[in-house]
Amino acid sequence: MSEKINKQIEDIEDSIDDGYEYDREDIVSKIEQYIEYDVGFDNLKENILRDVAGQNGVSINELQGKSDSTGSAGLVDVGDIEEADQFVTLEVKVTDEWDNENDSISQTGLVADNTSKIKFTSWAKSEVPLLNEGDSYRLENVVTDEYNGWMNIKLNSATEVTLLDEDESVDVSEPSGENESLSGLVVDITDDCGLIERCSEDNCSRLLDGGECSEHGDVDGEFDLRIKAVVDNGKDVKTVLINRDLAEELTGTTLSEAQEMAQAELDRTVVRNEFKTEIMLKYVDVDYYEYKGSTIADDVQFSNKGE
Amino acid sequence: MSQNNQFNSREVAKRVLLKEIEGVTEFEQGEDKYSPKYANLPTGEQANRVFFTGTVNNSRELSEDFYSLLVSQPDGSDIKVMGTEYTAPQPMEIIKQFASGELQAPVHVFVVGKPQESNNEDFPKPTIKPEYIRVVTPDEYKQALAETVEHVNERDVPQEVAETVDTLESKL
Repeated sequence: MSEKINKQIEDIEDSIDDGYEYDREDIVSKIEQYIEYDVGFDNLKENILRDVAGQNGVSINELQGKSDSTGSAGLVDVGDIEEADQFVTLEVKVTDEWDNENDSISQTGLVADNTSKIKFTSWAKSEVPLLNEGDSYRLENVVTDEYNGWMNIKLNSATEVTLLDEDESVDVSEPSGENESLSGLVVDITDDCGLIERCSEDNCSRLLDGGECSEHGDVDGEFDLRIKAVVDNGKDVKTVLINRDLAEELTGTTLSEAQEMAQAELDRTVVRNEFKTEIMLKYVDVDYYEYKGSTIADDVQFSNKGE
Repeated sequence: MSQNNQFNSREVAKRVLLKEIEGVTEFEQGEDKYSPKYANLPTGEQANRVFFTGTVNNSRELSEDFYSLLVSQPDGSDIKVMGTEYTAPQPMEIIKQFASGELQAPVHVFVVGKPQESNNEDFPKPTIKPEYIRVVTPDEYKQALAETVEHVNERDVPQEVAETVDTLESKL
């Protein structure tokens, strides 16, 4: 074996973080092959690392334990994650744990801070501790990834998971990052408001249409409340999605009361009408954020100016 | 045409004085018959949808299922809000309640709706096709009137409307 190839193998082995498996023979034969095709060392190194990363089920950055050179990756807000293949540290709360049938994944779900939420995935191979829904964690050295234009994070063997105490618990209730506010009159509420039924299948919350989910067909429904209010300040107009908690607070009607009303009348539209009576042509102050093209309320209050 | 004349965008409810609706000189519509129709207000504004507050003075059943609700403001301007077979159920119900005496004038209301050309030669002012009407408290009425004056003051206010603004401001 030539001196040159030896040096290159050494270089590649040094780049691979401890704990990842690779076949030295395989690397040697690949180097020889690449040299034969006049591939420069930087390129062949990257190609080989990519192969090894693939064999280990990790990203190329992860394979190289990129964060090690700088110690722990910088603490960032979830809302600031915009680029793939970055090592970052987050302080987040686990808001959702999703069912997972993929053997190579030990856990997946959503984590959030007060700026945004993001999907996380833990690889079974990386032996990352499982996270508890509702608990807050410091996640050092997670890798960012992008799929279909949406960012997600991967927990990996370089990731250090620290459970945060109750008093350090991450506040996810009031996103402060991209929040905006709007005051105006409710001039309309859309037809698909009031008492609604959602698909009860796991990971699905689609609105049922005539008892059917567009994905899962005929399913049991789960009742929910929501309002899509058209808020108009005389210059701009926005359709604001008001989810159950805020809708209950604003209208003074709880989900169970709404169900009783609908049962008594054998008609679900009574709930929407009740909501209309409560909020139409009233001034409201809304804090909202934009998510997937929707305007979602964080807070809605009747304005009390003029009182 | 108006800056709001975009495909699929909802028309803003412009805050207007009844004086502005009384002074509408013409309506303008885009090329195809589905384009929104705009009332040209004397303040230079174009309005497809409007919001105003006022006082209901009376409601009359002109013929079967054909009502008018007369709404006025303190400067003496008034406008008819029409209730016809084409009126949405909620405002129609309110208009009928006024006609039957179940709701009694004078009372303050908020109205959101669309100005339309009058077919009545005896009352040539534009009328309003209501989308929603709510009976409001005197505080809410004042609040909305103040907001309207604020918006109108940002427009190109001709003399006759300026007098209305003065009258209203003195009452707020």
